[in-house]
Amino acid sequence: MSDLAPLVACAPLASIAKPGRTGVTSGAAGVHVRVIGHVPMATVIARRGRDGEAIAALSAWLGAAVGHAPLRSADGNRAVIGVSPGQWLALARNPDGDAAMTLLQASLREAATVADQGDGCIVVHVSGPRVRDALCKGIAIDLDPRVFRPGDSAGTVVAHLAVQISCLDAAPTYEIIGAASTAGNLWHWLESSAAEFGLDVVHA
Amino acid sequence: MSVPRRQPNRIASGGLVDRTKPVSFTFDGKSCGGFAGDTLASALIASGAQLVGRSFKYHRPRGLLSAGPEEPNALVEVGHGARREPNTRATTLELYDGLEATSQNRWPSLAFDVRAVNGVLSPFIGAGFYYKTFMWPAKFWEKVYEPLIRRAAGLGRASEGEDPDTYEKAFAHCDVLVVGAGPAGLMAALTAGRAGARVVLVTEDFALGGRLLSDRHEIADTSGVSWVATVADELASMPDVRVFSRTTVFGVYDGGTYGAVERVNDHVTVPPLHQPRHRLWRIFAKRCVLAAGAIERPLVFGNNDRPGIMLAGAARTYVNRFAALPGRRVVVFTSCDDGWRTARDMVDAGATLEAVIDSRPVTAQGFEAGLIGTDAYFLYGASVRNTTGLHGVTGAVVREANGSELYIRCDTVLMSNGWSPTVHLTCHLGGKPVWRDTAAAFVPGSLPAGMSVAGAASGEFALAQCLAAGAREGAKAATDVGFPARPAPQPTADDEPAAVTPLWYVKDSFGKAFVDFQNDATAKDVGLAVREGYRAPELLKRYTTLGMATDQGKTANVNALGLLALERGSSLAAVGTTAYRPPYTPVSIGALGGHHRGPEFRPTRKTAAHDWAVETHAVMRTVGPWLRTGWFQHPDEPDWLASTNREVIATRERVGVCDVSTLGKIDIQGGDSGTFLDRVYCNTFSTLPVGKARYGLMLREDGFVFDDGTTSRLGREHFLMTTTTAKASEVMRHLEFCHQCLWPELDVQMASVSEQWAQYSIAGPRARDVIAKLVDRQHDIANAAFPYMAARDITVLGGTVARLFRISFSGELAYEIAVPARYGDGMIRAIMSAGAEYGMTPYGLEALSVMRIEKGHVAGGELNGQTTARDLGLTKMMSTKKDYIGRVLAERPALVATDRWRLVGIKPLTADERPRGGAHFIGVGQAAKLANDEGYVTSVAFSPSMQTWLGLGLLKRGHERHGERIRAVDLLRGSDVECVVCDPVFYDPEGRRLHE
Repeated sequence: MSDLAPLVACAPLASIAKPGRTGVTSGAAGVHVRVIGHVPMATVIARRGRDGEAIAALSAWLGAAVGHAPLRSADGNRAVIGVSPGQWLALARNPDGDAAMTLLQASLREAATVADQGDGCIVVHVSGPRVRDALCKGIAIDLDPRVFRPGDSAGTVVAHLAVQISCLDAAPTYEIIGAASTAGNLWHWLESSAAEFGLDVVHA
Repeated sequence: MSVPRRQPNRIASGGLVDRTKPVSFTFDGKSCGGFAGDTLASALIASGAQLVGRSFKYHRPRGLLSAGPEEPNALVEVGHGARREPNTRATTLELYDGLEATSQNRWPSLAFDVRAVNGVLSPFIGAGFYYKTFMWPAKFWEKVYEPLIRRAAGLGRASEGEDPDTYEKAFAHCDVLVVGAGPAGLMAALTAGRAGARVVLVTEDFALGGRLLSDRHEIADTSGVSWVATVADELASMPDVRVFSRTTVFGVYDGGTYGAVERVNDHVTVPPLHQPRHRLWRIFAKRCVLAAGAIERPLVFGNNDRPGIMLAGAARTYVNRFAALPGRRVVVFTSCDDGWRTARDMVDAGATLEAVIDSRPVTAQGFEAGLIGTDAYFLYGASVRNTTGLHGVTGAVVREANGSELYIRCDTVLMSNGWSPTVHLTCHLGGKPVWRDTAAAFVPGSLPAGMSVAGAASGEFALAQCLAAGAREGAKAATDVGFPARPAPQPTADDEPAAVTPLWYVKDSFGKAFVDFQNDATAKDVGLAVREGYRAPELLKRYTTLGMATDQGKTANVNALGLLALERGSSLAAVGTTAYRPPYTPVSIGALGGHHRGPEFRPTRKTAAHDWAVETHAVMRTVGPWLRTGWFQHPDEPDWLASTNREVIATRERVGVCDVSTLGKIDIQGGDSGTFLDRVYCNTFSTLPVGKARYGLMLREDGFVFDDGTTSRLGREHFLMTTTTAKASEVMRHLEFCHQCLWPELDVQMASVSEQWAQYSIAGPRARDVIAKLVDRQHDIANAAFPYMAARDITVLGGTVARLFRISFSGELAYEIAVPARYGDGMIRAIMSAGAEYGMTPYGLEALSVMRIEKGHVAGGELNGQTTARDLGLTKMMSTKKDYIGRVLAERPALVATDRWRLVGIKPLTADERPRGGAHFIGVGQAAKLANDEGYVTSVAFSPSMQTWLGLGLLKRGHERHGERIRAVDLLRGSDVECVVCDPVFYDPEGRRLHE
């Protein structure tokens, strides 16, 4: 090894999502976007016939019940999203996200396999009084608070891009996880859709 | 504020226009005035304009026929420059300050149109004229006939500039969708809304109320207009009721999906910043109440198209809603009770009633009672057979019941032949309307699942009936989806007479009697079609063009079907209708595209090194969804070939780096992962040692080659598969299918990790020197410790996790190094720094392609879905010791035939002669024709190392013909290059460099 400097991480949205107000600038922003930096996450797939063990390990790791349903269970910085039968997406926000993922892998042992995905994904949290009016310009699922409640999650498509959307709270705040390579397209869609309501962007 | 302009036909008081808000606009450059709340049509009427357009075929002067979306005549161009929009219906265009409208289909002016000569020629250009005339000689078609017809055809002009506006697509969900906001729709929405259902109420108008705005009604002891306002207030107060005005539901689709277009900003000159012009809605509704109302039918009589001849109900809209008087001396020609109401409203609006001509025998209703004091003729069993006038009607020629003829001077003829329910949306999923004699109309037949119909759209025309039906259907729809509802209390309202005896054609009409105003199809054309055998409604439509174009025959179809029934001597029930298809009214292409235009037409995938590549003067190209570097352009290089040659030479002589992040990467784990791979690949993977990579070939079930790539064994139960960039998602889908459907018993877990890793190929004699500077010291990468085809987890640059693979596509000593994508940008920069002292050169797809062709590696050109492993010289990879997908069908006789086209290399006899990709192999001295075709060139490159063009191709029995000469003939690009057939591996055939 030479005297080259250690590698510096670069978030896909860092240069695309400019912090501050965009779109309509008068009045309070109708949509708030919080761009979350790198989130360690992994696909967890139960090995054949070991769903129960996997769920138990995931629940123990999370400190909250995890099930088979398309739900997002969360506790503190950790979350588990059911994405298909026997398959979950586990997230652990930094600062200790990487350590948490290592712990998850260890606690799953032989019950499930784990494949890192955090580098391939972008995460944004979207809220604000007009958030549903903006999101309905691309998201076909029903986001009505009586239908898509806190903890609900769905894999869907927006602007031809696969995303995982979850309702985090009753505000409502939505978490959208998309692919890193198309971060620009997803962002452009979000920015255009929210522009008429005013969009406030912060990086977490 | 704009200066109020003269509005000679504006009624002094009344109407729903806002007289405090004058609006100025131009029509054919002339400034006019109107008020907020006007449509362009009502403002034109108020301004005294009667002539508003020219007809399509005969260029006859035309005026407003209707007051709604059914308008066939008053199509105008709106705006200018790139915003110019043709074929806008003046009757639905909301008036705004600064509106520029221009009449179309006339030259040089509306009043004097050269092509009106077509009217004189009309005896020769009836239905089928084009079909019959432009047939011979055949060679005239392209050069003469088509340009001629194209010039005459079409309505309006496209702007041709890029659309400066933006469009959106959006989704809405509801329990009950109510289409139409007339009395029935309002009652339905009110009932469902009060029950707590999520309701979406849609109206194409800019105001709620439907016909209640056009007619003078009393509801619940107040005016219809006040009742509408009360209901609108209540709906607005309900949080779960959304009202979409200026929105047209244009189509019904499967599963309760409705298409709607919202004209968000067609009522302003330029949409406000960040707002779209149109928004396309996909509405998902559990139930739908269709309350779309009805469209009035014209009467078909001689010269029934002169400006000033208008639908009777439309005239009521103009006087009652817009306080605009369409004419002062009025003749009403009717076959129904409703026409009489128009006569009364016109008189009350200040017009002089000249006559009411009812085609029916004397009625017992006593309609004349309301018209006492006028000097009008009241004629029964009579009809208008002709009209006079040039640019506007000046009189009507009436045939009385006793046969005598009467000429009545007038400036307006208002006609009504009854109303046709707007059944369109009931038909989009295959429903057929049925004829109901009592309503004298086609009413909805079988309905789309979840839809019910209320009010005039179901053939119930009287107001009290509409209110009751709306409440009933609204309650039913809400109850069905879990919101128990009782119909909203029925407000008192009159059930006005609505009898009709339709008159499909005035028999002794003089002159042209138009059925379809937009297509200039006449009663005579219908007769001609039937005589020539076009007896079915669909054939009649195609032969006469009746019911086509922007209005889709909204005012024409039922009259045409009535005429057809007469001609055939059958009933309307037997004749039926043509198919109603979406869209109900035209939808802008922009709305259908929405956000996805220009660079956002489809997603563009960028690798982690994209920004670095752009900084490094990469010339990008699209490869599937990815943007990849074609080559890196140095300022002194004249073309791509010079750049590519430099990149190839640098890599072959020193070291180069290429971004290969776009390759598909699939993480495969589980106890049966080796078995799984053995079954999906034709070669064996279960025997691959941990820490090794192997080239794999995947076949389709039919035995042809599907995809290839290297797969590495990272652990006992852990493989990493790579796929080609193009097939990444297809392979993933295939593997998922294999696991879920074919072998669910296997313990295999798969995840796509294509996005997770940024991966770079470092190739060339100095590759190891560069890698050594990047990899952390504890990892031994010496040739012995990390030999060709080694694959291992490592760390780089002080502990960043990475994967190192010693695999080569270029034929050089090469490594691929993968790091988590967030380090991808840092890694490529680190590689460039580490390699600087060795002359590190980044290379793109072109250089990659040159080197793989030199090396004889197959890629997209050869893996084209038509080649087998044998064709490609990969027979040895097909295991004989195991079963795998494609094995059985690969042995089909045609796939093992000895004369199949096999992979070869080709080298032109003259080094600088370029064989073309796609050129066909023809024997030397043979004619270049299909019978002599022996295969084709799949890939071509200029090899800077060998200073010659060379290529790969598929040649009949090619593997046995090395050394022979063959021609690569490309008749399209005019090249014919004689080549020597050779082994496809041109460069380092022994593979020494890979192992150095």
